[in-house]
Amino acid sequence: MTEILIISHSSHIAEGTKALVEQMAKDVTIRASGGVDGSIGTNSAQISSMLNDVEEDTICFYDIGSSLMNLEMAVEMYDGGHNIHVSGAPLVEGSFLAGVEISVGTDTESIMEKLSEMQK
Amino acid sequence: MNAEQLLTQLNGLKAVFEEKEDELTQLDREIGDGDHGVNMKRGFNAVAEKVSDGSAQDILKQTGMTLMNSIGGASGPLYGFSFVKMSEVAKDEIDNDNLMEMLEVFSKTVGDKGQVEAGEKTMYDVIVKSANVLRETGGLRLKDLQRLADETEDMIATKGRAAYFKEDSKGTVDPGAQSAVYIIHALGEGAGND
Repeated sequence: MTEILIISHSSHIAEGTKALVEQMAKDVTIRASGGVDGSIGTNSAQISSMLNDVEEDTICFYDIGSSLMNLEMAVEMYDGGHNIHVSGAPLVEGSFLAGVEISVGTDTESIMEKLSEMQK
Repeated sequence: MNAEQLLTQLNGLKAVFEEKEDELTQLDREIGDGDHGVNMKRGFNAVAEKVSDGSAQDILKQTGMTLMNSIGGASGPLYGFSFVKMSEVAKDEIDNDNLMEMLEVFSKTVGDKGQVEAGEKTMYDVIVKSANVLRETGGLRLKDLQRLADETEDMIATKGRAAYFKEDSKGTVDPGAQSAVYIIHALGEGAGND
């Protein structure tokens, strides 16, 4: 089953969004990477190590500023065997929608299409 | 330039960024958040400490990963990722043609990932023209690279934190453009040479 990876500048946003989505999609694996070294920021090395842990194809969501750049770099360096999708949908709404759709068995391609209609 | 020289030249950046920390801090205080000097120093301290012998490709990749791990903000990832991408085209013996190829990769990486164009008062303004300097002068001399950074003084920032300063960003050399001078110089001539 497709997994979700949440990237935020803030650990509270990342963990909070994860908790919110888990509420609706208990069986979906959701990983969250928020902040760097206890403060605000994103870091592609940290995202890389999260990606190395995924066990299925994964849809990634990001928040503001350099989070997309760091995520894209990590995705480019990823050499694992799963498909890593990056969604430009708003972090909370997008991961919520993805969580629900994954839990009801929608295929990843259709989910990405729905997400593409809700750009930031 | 072989792998050993490359490592020596990159390690030389530790002393350069220690010496230039105040200069970069000053520039970044004018039009940013003032952390560029300390970030670059921390990054190349880590490079000198962690990057070990290997092929030219290994050295560039390790340098990139170290910078990505140790410098925050946008400049660390952009420099770091550029080194990773340059490692993919570097040969064991880096001649001027290969260096040119590396500079083009450097420029493309920063342009794509930083979503930046020339004239926006960033590190890209130095990087994008550095291959031309090499082509026209046969080297990457400090004064020629410095001229490129100096051209950012009159530009108005539209990217990064400096963009908040709008018109007021005029009159200050971009700190990222200034650090790019030292990095490209080290790749070409090596720190300590002209």
